[in-house]
Amino acid sequence: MPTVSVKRDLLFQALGRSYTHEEFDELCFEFGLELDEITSEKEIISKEQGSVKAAGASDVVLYKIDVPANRYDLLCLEGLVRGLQVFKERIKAPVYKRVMPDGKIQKLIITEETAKIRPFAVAAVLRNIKFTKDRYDSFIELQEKLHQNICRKRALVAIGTHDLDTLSGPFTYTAKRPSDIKFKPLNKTKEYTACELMNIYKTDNHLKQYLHIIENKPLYPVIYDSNGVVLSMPPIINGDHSRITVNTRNVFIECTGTDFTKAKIVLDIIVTMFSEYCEKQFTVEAAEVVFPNGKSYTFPELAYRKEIVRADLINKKVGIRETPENLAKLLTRMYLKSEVIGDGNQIEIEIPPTRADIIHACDIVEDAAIAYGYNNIQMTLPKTYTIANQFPLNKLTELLRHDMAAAGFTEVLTFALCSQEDIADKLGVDISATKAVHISNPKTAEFQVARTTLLPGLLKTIAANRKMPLPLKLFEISDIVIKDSNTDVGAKNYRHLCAVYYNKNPGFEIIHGLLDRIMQLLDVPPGEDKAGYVIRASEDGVPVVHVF
Amino acid sequence: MPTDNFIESSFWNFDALFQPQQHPARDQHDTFFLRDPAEALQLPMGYVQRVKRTHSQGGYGSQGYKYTWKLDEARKNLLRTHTTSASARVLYRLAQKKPFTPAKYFSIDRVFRNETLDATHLAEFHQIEGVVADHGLTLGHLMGILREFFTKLGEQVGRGGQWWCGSGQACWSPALSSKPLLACPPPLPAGITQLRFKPAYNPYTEPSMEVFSYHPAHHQTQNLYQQCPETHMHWPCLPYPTPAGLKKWVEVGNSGVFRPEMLLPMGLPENVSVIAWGLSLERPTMIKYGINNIRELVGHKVNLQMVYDSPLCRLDAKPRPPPT
Repeated sequence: MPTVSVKRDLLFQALGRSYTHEEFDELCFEFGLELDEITSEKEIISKEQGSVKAAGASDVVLYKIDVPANRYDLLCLEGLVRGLQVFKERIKAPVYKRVMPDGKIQKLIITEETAKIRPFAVAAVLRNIKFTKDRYDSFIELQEKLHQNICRKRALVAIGTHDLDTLSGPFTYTAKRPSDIKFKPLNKTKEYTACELMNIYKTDNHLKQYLHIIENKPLYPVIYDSNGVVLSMPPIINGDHSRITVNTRNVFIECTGTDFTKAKIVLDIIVTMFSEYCEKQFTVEAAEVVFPNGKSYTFPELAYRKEIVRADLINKKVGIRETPENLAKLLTRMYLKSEVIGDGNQIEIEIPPTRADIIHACDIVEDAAIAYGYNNIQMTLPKTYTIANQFPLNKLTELLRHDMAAAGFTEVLTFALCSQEDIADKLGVDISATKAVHISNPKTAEFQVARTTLLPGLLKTIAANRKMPLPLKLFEISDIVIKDSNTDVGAKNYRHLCAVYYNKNPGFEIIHGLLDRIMQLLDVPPGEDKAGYVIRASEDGVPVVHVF
Repeated sequence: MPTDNFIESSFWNFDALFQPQQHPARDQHDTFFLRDPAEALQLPMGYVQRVKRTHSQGGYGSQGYKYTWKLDEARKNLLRTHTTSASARVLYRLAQKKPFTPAKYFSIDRVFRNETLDATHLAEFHQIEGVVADHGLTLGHLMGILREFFTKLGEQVGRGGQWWCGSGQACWSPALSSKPLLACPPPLPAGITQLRFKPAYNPYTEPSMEVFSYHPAHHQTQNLYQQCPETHMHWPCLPYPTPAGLKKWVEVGNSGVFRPEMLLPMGLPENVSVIAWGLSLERPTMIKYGINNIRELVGHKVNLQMVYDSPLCRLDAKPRPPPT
């Protein structure tokens, strides 16, 4: 779950009132958020680096709030406040509008070189915006959160925000050879080529994780303005020339990426959240994006979608009995402006651009239930009449386990993943003969393969319990995994029983006795008749049981 | 439900559950993918086409995710990350049987996650899952079932298994200590019901609910260890530091109503709802017995003496009173 860190006092100021911890926790719980931690910058640094380093840090109380992973509109203070205020019916949800500029529209032209590396781009302008230090920090933080979240660490979408007054359009989004790209990036004092930057950032803790997205490609994406100034080299870094400061009044936003839908959603989120601070509140200036095939689009989309849901459907799915008017009111509290239409039974819901998570009527049903209050719903039991059965394999396993314990053996529960040696070399077998399932990129040797025998787990348990009084009599009845091309996935589980006797003497007679007891329990008689069993020596001297 | 398959294809583990292919859980960091066998050999192609369409274009009343769905991605084999993949297989089979008959299923089996390991997290653990498929099921039904289920799991699990060291203060303690400690939860403050439900998010359920159980937190601390003022013994806290001053609701499970985008491509009738819930096996066990390191409970490093000495697990028995 993504976590948003907000200053408590700013939060309460925006909400228009103060809350006690309990009250705010309660509000979060109702809404589907979680107040994860109450801390301060000083405490955070103290925990990570010790109290000496934390000495000068801020004491301001921070709330860390967990938000659902699909609610991109709650990833910043502005969005949280707006959502909570609408939920508590203190404000009406603002209507976001795209407006055409007074002068020329800003244009972003995409060339065909980007097609192989990062084909999509969208853009918009926030006109006459007023930043304060807190708003500026929030703006940067939101981009970071979106990058981590819906943008899948910048691989799908990367956001660039620029001071429009330092640039002049039209802008060109193209891709060039790394050696041909040269500019002064953010936080640096001189110009570098892209090759040099990739090297420099290899040791940058923040940026090194994004290098792989373009590193080995022949061409790197880059955005220029009409004077050849580099806005950014997505998804790595923006140019210093167009950096945003607290004094920036006009912001040019560009999002580039490999997923068109997500780029549009990301742009919509940023502009809806921060257009609050524009002179004409909640308006966003349009920008035009021209694709290599000549087709031109106007962004941001800021689409409002309408969906019609029957009131009785919502009531039925949740298990409540609200009038259509009440349901419409509940949904409006969740930022889904609704009204009763038609025969009085239908509700028309307007889905704003901030709610890209609403893709089906069931999403609307959930929001109605949240506004109603989950804990206000009456709990009932389904009248479904069914006859129960246990899965036969598990039933048999349960029966056997108890009788194995009755025979004096102790059960263990060991890991299904182990190293290759555990199931091969250590047992004197070649790994290719085991038909084992291999895991790609295991972090350690302990996760190389899935076990093909229970024996290594039992032996490791004995090794870890060497100091226990002897004898140790252990067993496990559990699954092993073998490759099998007759199954749809190519591998199958087999239920195995394994028992080990560990003492100063080998105790073959003990295991023999246990085996005879197990066969007795399973109703397998000794002898070569049909469905019987015998024990014979095999070629390498190991006794083997043959079941007929 | 038959769950005797640790190896699963991405299709059944993710795509059939309407979890998109770019979802972070499908990363190498969270999921164990396989080198051999790397890809599933067979997939039910008609169903696969319907799933592909629902993801990329929508349908069944949905907008869909609007991305390019790739068959190669769905073919990738992995160690299952949840037993919900087995539930999907069972529901698919149920959908092929006409006419539809209601069913209730459960499973308890092993799952695998490629996460960072620490005192409370292993690469493999067990999940408990329950599923009910019927006409006209509501959120109220799901809550009702959950209440009965968690009540049966017993007061000790629901209450968070507090242990008293005799000083009258509540402390957490490791299961194996020289001083035997007893669980004796104090009475709940008046007016607080034992279970609460919180809105949550899963890719494959909507509505989704997390289930919380209440227990009072006497030690208001964010530390990992706390010292009992009377006996001066240090006890490790459970892995959820409590914001100072809050009474603590502890998450005991997750649940929801499966999305139509998951059920309808399977062929289940439109008015059939499927509700499901799940929890891990290890966490409530660790709470009940006051175990702080999961390796003391599962795996080959378990202390056999603990296994020899443990009493019967009786979920419905009343805990013994503290020593006077």
